[in-house]
Amino acid sequence: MEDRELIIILKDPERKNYGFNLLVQKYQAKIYWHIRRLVIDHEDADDLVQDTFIRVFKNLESFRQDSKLYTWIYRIATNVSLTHLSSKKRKFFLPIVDVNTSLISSLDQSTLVTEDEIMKKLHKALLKLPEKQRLVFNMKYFDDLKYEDISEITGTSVGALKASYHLAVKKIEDYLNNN
Amino acid sequence: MKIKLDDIKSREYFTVPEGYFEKLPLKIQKQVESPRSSTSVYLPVLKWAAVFVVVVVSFFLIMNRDSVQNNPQISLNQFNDSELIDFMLDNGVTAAEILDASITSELIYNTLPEEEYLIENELLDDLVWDEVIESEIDYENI
Repeated sequence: MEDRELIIILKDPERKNYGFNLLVQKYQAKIYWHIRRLVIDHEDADDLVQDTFIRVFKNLESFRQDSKLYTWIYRIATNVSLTHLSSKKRKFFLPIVDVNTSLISSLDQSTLVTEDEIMKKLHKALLKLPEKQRLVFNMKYFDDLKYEDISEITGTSVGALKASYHLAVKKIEDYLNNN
Repeated sequence: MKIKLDDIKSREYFTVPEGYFEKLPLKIQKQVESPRSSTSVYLPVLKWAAVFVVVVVSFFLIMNRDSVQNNPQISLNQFNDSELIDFMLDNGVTAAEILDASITSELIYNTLPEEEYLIENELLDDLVWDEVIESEIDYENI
């Protein structure tokens, strides 16, 4: 179902719950993976994906359709995830590099991963990047989003996003070749 | 041979428990239908906030009973943060408890209803790193 039709259902009070269920079915996987790649741990991602959709539900009335439905949902998921990482950093008195170290440790210990060594190495390289550079890289490389959509999600110019992605690729390739 | 990212096909490294995506919509639906469970994540946070408020107000009232009685205009605004923190530390509240409570307050602030969930400006500013600004990359031709 197209987002346009979905929005019509969601704006109808009698069909809102039905529409919301369709919305969850449509976007749950994309949003889960987006969050999971940022927070690494499945349990955290599970909590945050639920939190994201609850916020979506509660704020449907305020969705003014200035942006696309899915970029709006991505934006909420991104904000929820970054807030989670920031609170984790504050809670443990840790600079972000140490939070990333703890995320690498989660990556090593997780049983909910494939045996794909090159992808594991790629994710370790990603965890060496600044958080927001990692965010941009994930949305481009894994989700294959257009720069224009990433720009809508992050509120950053397309030019800056292209530069950020380009730098991330260089750093990741350096890491992959030197580790 | 040098590894190039273009040569690595994008694929998912993480996995989920079996049947996870089949069960997730129901979990979300339940949370939406019962608001109490949806706030469960923040319940410990709210408890700490309540403790924080009670501790600060109680100490203030006990230690300044006389001056409060003499001057009803007195308020916590007369003390700066470090004075309040010193006061609590002197009276047996640990630094960890103060920190937890202050993080709590911020989290509660973050959970207040918003018209739209915008990424905070500071986060957006961070997206344009110095290295991006300083680099001589030709943005339009990447």
